[in-house]
Amino acid sequence: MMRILFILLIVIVTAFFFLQGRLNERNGEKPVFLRNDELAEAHLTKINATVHSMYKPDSIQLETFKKDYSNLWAHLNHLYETNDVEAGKEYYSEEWFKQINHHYNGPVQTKIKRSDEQHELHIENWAWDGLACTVSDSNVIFHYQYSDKSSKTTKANLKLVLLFQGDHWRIDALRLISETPLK
Amino acid sequence: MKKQGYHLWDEYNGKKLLLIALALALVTHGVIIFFTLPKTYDAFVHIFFADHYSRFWFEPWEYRWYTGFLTTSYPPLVHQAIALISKVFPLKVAFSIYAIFILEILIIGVYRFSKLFFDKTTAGVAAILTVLLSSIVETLHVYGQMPTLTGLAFLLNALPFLYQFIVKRKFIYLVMALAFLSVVISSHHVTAIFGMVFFIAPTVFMALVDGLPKESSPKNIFRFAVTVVKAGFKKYKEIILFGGLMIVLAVGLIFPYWYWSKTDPITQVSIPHGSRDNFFEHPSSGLIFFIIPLTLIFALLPAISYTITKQRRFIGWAVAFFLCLLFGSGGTTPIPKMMLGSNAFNILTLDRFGFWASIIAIPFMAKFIYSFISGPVKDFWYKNFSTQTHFILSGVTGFSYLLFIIFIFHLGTFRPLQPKEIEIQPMLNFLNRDDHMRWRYLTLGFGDQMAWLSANSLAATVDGNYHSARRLPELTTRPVERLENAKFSGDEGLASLNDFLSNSEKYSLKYVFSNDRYYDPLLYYNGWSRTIRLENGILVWEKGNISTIKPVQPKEVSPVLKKAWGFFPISSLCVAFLLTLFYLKRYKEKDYFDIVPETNHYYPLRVIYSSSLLPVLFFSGFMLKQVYELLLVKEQKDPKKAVLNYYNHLDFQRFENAFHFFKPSPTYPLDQYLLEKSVNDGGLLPSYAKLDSIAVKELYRKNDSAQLSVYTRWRTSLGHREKTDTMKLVKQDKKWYILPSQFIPEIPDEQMRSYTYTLFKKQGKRLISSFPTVKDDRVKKPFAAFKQVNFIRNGEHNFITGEILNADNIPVNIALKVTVRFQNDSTKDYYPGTAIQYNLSPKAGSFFQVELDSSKILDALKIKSIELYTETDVSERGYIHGGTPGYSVNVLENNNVLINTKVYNELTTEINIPGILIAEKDSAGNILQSQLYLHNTAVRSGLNINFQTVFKKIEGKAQLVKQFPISLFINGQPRNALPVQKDEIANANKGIVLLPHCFMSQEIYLQ
Amino acid sequence: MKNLFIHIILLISISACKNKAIEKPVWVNKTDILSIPIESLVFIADEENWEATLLSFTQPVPLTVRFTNDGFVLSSQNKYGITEGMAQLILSNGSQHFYYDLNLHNKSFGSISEKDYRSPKTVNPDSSLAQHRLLHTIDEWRNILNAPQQLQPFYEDIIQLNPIAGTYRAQKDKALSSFYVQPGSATSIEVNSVYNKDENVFVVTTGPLKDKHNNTVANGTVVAFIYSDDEQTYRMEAALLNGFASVKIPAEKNRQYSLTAKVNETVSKQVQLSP
Repeated sequence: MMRILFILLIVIVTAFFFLQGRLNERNGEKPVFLRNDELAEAHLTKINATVHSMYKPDSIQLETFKKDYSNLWAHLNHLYETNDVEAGKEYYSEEWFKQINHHYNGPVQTKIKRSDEQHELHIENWAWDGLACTVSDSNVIFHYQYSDKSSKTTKANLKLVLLFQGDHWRIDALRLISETPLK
Repeated sequence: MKKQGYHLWDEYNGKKLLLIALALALVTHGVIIFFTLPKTYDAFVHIFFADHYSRFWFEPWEYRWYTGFLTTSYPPLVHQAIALISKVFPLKVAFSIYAIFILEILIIGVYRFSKLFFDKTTAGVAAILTVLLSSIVETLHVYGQMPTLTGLAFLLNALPFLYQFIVKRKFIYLVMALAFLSVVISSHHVTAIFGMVFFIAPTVFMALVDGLPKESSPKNIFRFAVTVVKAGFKKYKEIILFGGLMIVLAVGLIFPYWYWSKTDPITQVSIPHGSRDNFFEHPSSGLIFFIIPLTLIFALLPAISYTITKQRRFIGWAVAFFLCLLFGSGGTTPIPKMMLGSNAFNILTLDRFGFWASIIAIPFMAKFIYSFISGPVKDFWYKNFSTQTHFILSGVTGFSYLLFIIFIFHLGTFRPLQPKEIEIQPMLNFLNRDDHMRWRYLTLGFGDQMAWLSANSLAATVDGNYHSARRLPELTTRPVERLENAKFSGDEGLASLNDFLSNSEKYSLKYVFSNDRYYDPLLYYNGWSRTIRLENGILVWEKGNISTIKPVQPKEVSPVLKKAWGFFPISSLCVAFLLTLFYLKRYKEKDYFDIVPETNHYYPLRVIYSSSLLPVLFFSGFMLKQVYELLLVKEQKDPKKAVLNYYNHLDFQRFENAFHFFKPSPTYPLDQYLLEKSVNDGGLLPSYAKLDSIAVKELYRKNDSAQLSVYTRWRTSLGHREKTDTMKLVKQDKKWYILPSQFIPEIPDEQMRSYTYTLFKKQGKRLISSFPTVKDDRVKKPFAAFKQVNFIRNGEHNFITGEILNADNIPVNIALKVTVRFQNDSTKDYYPGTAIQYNLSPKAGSFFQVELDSSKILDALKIKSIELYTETDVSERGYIHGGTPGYSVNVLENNNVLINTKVYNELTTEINIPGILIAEKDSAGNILQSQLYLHNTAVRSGLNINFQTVFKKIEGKAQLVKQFPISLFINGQPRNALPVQKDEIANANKGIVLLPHCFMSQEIYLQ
Repeated sequence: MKNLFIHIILLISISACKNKAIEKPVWVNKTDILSIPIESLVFIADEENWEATLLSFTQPVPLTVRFTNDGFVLSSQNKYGITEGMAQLILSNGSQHFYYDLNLHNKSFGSISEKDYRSPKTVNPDSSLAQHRLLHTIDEWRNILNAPQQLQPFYEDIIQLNPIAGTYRAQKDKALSSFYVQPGSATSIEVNSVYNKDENVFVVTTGPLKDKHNNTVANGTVVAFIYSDDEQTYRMEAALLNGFASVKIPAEKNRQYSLTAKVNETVSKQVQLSP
């Protein structure tokens, strides 16, 4: 009898702990801006930039832009592969973020890995205050790796609008002009 | 004498007493811990660490303090255990639950430890004594040192197993001893290290002695020593096995800690700690760190000394006890420093040695107390005096000791160690709002509650409360515990805080939560602006032009070490728990302490008298002293005392008490005093200063009257101020009273005043979005221009001076930085201090001066070029500098001039700190130097205040250096300075020109 | 015998692990340009348990699979648009995946927004009235469109703004697109002083302060009134409101002041203050 009572007591205490425990979860996620962007750090691509705009970015602005543009592609490729919309939030404008969330039902694995190997970046317009710009990215080389080990390389032409918000250049809009497979 | 006759109960008396002790601990400490916790020194630090593990168990990098540090710098078990409990209960409750568990384990530990010395009943008394021992009460309720208590609790439980292992050579005892010691290592490395010397070594020694055959114990001490050494050699296998495994565990369990201490050694200036003071010179330190925790030990010292030196098996304990007591005396004698070495002496907090001494003494004290309550000592009192005498003696001692313990429980209330409890929710809401977490914050005047705020937020602060982990040179080069209590660290503390406040861009420090107006002048004159006052009364200060935090790459720690850190220490606790269950079920021997020799209950007369009477003298004396200080002290016994006590009350803002020092008069009631005070209040000295020292000199004294000169030195956040007053006192009814000085206030003509202010409101983000501000919502960087910039050398002093203009139509906040580039291409940054107006109205300008290094340093490094960077930001506050200064200049000797200033307050608010920014110009208009001068008292609306300033001119001595190119940048764009123009006003005033630079506290929207 | 039994079991296990080859489903209504949202893509296949993902250039889009007697039909889960251009359709059955190249196209643009980014947002005639304008158009799904009547999607130019101070909008219906023409610095300062006997003060007023385009100088601009007598030099500051700034200087018997008003480097003529 005592044993049963004892077990009952343990069950009650455990149940109480379990119920209480759900109330006391502490957020273990660092704010996104404090996290090290491992995707961006691991990303490698070649970017050649040419400036055609009326106002030109100075060398520091251009370097920042190229770095952010490279990081953006790390996240666009990750988004393409996994539909993980949160990872690249620091590189998306709010409108862009809302748009990609329209097609978000949780992360997936698409079995296709995309990597960008080179960009020929043409800065078409650069706002006087350095907070907006438009670019043409021509002859972008993409490499697609399929789950069955097959692969494909393509050449693409793109137009993008980027805005400087917070600490980063963020994608606001995009137009894929063409994408053709390379032999 | 028969031992059996003195049992409190007939059987299992020891265990019953233990149960009483456990229950007593639960109802006393268990109830009170939750309320004493916020007032302790360390509880919140441990709670912060626990919060770290509850969020990031396998990630030792903690980014929230000191721009990041590794938690491998402190053994994690206690924090991890609290983190686990916090999954179920809120953090403070989790900490309290853990504390109670540990206290119960400690009581069991003391009980088991005491059984190594004496019988079970004595051990039971020892257990009860543990609940009421002042050193334990203080460690738990005043210091909140949970790792120390955890380490000790498990260490004491390990010792009987170790003893058994040495004596009986059974493997299970070794396993059990090591299991418990593993917990010690994982929870507090210092206890593990010093525990080897002060607890484990005496235990081994005692076991060796007890293992000797009774007939082979020689009387000669040398022969005895030789015999013990021989016995040790006989048991070398056990000792080596234990020692070897202990080292393996000590290294293996907390390897990341050793790795950290090896790769990132502590190289910081020692932070002063009261336990290292000479207690004769600093009696308050002695009281807190030596007397209060050890009073009972001192009271029973004759009995302890007698028993601990009576038997040879206790020799090790006697050495450990007296050594700990000596170390615990801190810097009172030079011996601890000599023995520990100055390095260890300056790192360790020595009160822990006193604490260990008190633990070693427990069995010996219990022995005497038991004898006094129910043994031969009681018999002695019965026989030679009467039962009543014994009863009164016991009653008074017990009652006064209980009062003493209650006093310690409330030590935090009697002598406030911490500011009042601060509601943190408004600050959490502020940090979570509008991306404020993208910058660092700093708290001022929070005490240890800053750790509680950190534990509840993911935002980062530049400060921290674990100084061993500090690596920023600005912190490690100064003996400053925390920035947030800089005012208690003297000049060094304020210099350190000043560095962070002026160099805040480097640390992305944008917000200051201030709970102490003492820092207001420092913040204001360093370019910080008041933003809002939160619901909890905390004032938020903000600085413009600060970049957001960039993610810092954490210090590289191997993933294996991270896993080991998250797994091994907590496993040691689980293993110890499981092994204990297993041991109790399978191995527990009923009479396993049979080998412990019996001790007789005899005490010599001198010990009986001294140890029976000293406690009653000590505790009732202590309590009487407290009562006397609280109620009966004559504060107005003589003129000097009266003045000193009056200033003491004034310093702690006990105005009603201070008022009672004035001669009672129907024309000078409390109302009048408070009114006069309020009229004079608000200045730098009356409102933003802390009394540093006071010296009173009697100018004359006749029968019933006296005149005194009072020299006071005040600490303000902007440096020291001195003042000398003369006070007249009269004697009435055996008390000395101060005569209030005649008060003739200046009265403005007007009954109502008006003034037109132009206020600006930054709309902020118009687009309601959690994303950073969009392009169209960003306010452009305001225009600014340099009117002139000069490099001035004045002997060893070098500085950049100049004048900057707000060229825009909105108020701006200016951030100035001078970068000096040297020939070897290295650079060094310098920031302006207080000699600039950081916030400027539209089209307003300010002089500035940025101090550089000495000529010796600059010439050695060879300057190549100088760059002056300015960033501007829209400002809403702080641009009204107030007052209309009128001035004239008289020439004095030695290139000094006397500036006679009259400040007229035309505003509708009191000017709390009238100030002027003085510039010295040469005849061509070049600014040679710029300095801020602040007056000590406030000026009310519509009134004037006059003050004089002696100013040292440098014209003719200083040199305008033109050989190094100075490049100017405003918001990243290269700019040129405007042509320098002659200043007719300066030329008419001996080269002196000034701007008003006042601080107003009343109307927050102005500044 | 025992060994043989084990070998048989192993063989059976290995053969069970091997996947049966699945044939690529046949897309019945195949098209090179796929319009979004998808109404129905019909496939013939022998097996069931198909999953379908449309991989646009930016992200995977899950599709709904409805099984029929001889195959399955795919359709969009929602009505939102997508990044147009080259894409792939992925059909998965267990560990096997089939890929179909295609081109995506939204059935509608949704709401089109024309962007007009101006910088600097605030101009001051003291420096320049030039403003950079950056134009482009995007559809609701963040695809850049060619601007009406232009072949290029992006356009930029520099425009000269009217010097009249005020708040203007780049896009009429958007408060966020507002830009600002500030008034410039004062060109000259007029000072008037009156002695007010009742209050025993000099009331000194400047204004109206105008810039070179006749705009009233900005509110809050600091005007320093510097006055001196034989002994002292005083500096009283006042903020400009609607072009005027005024101070009251306490008067004293037999004391005269000479006063100038100053805004930055612009200084008024000296006036004498005497009761």
